[in-house]
Amino acid sequence: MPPDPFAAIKEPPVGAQEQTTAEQKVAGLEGWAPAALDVESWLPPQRSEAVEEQVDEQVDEQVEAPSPPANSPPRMANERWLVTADLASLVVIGGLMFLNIANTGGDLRLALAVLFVTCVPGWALVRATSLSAGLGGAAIAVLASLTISAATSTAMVWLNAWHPLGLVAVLAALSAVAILWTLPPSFVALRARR
Amino acid sequence: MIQVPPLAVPRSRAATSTEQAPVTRRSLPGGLGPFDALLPLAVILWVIGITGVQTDAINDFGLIPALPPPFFASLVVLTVSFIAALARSRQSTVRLTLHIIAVVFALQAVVALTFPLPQYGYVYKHFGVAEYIGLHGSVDDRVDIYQNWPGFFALGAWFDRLAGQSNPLRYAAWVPVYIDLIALLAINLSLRALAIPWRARWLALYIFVACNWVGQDYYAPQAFAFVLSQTVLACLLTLFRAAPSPWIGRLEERVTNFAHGVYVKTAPLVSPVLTRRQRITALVAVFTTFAVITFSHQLSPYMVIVAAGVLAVPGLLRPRWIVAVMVLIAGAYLVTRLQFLQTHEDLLISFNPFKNVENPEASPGDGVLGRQLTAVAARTLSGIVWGLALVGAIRRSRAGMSVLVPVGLFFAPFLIIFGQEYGGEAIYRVFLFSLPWAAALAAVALAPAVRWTWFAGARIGIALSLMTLLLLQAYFGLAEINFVRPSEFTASEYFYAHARPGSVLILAAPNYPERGSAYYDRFVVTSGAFDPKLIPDKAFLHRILGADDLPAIEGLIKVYSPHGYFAITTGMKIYCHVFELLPDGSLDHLDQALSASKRWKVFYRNEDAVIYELAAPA
Repeated sequence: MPPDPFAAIKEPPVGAQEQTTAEQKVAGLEGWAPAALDVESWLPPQRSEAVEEQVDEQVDEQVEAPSPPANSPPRMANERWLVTADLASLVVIGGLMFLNIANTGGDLRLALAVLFVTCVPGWALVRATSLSAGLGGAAIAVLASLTISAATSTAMVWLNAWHPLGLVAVLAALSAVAILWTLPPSFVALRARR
Repeated sequence: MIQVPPLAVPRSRAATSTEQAPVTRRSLPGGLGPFDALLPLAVILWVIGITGVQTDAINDFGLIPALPPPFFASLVVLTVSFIAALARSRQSTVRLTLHIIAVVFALQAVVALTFPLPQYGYVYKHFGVAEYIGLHGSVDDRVDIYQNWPGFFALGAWFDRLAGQSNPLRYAAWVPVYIDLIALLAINLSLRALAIPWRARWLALYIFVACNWVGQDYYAPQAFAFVLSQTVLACLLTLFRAAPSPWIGRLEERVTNFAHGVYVKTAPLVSPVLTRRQRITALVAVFTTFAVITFSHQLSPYMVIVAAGVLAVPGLLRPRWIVAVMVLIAGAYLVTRLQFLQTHEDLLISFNPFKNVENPEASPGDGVLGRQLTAVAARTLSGIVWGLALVGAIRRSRAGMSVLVPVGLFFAPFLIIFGQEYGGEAIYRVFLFSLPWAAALAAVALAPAVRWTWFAGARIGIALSLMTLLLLQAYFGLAEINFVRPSEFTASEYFYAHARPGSVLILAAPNYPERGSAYYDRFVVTSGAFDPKLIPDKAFLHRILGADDLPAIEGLIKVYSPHGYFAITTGMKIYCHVFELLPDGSLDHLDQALSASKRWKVFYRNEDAVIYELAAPA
């Protein structure tokens, strides 16, 4: 995994005093350190009733697991999911390319094509840019995949260069390279934490 | 402004929470309880129900008469199970996600599993465009409007090749499930960015599924563009949210005070400060996705622009020039398509809002009792979700939370009816684009403010049950029309494979799987997105058609081509029956007249479709 260049977001203190609008602007922005490259953490904190529940949660965390270390089980679980998703993406790429070259597959090929167009190029992109954690990362992967797929296929149509297998080969190769670039460090980190 | 003390943690409450935490916060297996049996039970009931669906029983009231009791029981159990998942003291993401997926399948997979072909006759012309691109590898701007907005179809053609399919027929029925699931992913991200509490957020997702009666999620560019639009909005709300301008804060304070609420002036929700690199990456992603929306669908980019504009004006979205760039992208693309739109009189622009909200094909009071009931169900469902949204906005406002963004995004799509008619479908698009935010505010109205109570559970249960019941009628109420028979599609395929190129196909009425072939461009398509039809031309309505009408049909052919065909199908007869456009038997009588005429000969006939060919040149 490439090193996180940013510190984690500091959420505004739960019991913060009310401030004037001008102060809020400054404090609000200053309170937010640059985002860790994790879209989950870019989301704003919940407020009001949400804040109450957050308070509960923070208290729970303080009592149950004060300041979880980097190799804590949740983090490891997250890492495990990422590695699993990486491996699954590589399986989809390999399977789809094989079935396309063999020109066979039926329902399996259809399912792999859905997974590829919906997830794989975007997943490779978010992994390469370390945006992959949590629901936000998954959402961006899906959306980036659809955008990339639609944009590139339309470009082929407009350029009168219709090579559908060529496009899937290029996207698959780029995705595989991006995933393989991030996979070994993640894998090693996971093994080391175990 | 009312001064509020800083939030404090009541120790007693914290202690209680701590005691509960080990039970409720652990992973799913450790926390399994009796209510967790409800979801598998709902799935089992649903499977039993689906296997018992009798499509022969579909009638004027739609699919409901064809659905067996276990299907309804599964929906009741699913609703109870979802409420039980909401009632937990801590958010269980796995449980709630499974429930949302289950409700999408329960409502949207019914057609995919029980109908022999994808529903809606008008979806097949989309297959034709994708097949055309797959065959030629290019588009011809002169053919029709779809080839001028080819983003979705190019993706479809590429996907078909990738998946080893000759056309989308095999998987198109599952597209609504796919589209809804991905749209929910984007909507969830938006709602998180709005800091909607978790119960209200998951409830909003359920409400979105239970109120989405407009059926705009089938294999079509607008469905794809809707998903991408929600994505762009989610990205904007997550990454470019800013504190509102002071004037809007003062305005909201006054409105809140007027509503006798407690205006709590807390830190505004803002996005994190992005580095220059992050900012550029995010902007490129947003603009690229917006560009894909722009060349995929005619109307959707303007929906996004209006929504982004509503956020930008009070300063909730910064930098404001994001909207200007979007306008530039959409405008630049529109300019390149202007010539086609002008020559085909297909501008879709209309500045008459009253006309734009009308469906030109049918008014609410038209049709048989079942159709009228469907229209009432759809309107009631819309009224309920919009009414609850209003209550939710007031409730959230009175609790001191800003409602600027959800209310602004809820009302933004309505602005589009002042500028676009979209063939009478603009109002459906308005409903669809406002639904995520209406659902969010409705969920705020229904969800408990702080602690879960039985009353809240009952309130949510009643609301969701009512919504689901109305949805079944509103969404499946026209199943009799939407059902496409394999023999009708076979007739359509035969026509495009064997008919004389350059000729025109005249339809007796709407509801035919037209243009579902890569060769559709070989025939006259200058009539717009649909082939020309007799019905609903007023000259032919509400009477028995016969030999006297044959010269008029020939005249209609002559408008387009010297050679032509005329099609009558079972689907058309049902359409005319449901909307009471013709007396029952009218098209059969016309069929007999054509059969007896020496100027017409049968080109193709099966049990559900007949296509006549004009023997003598028109």
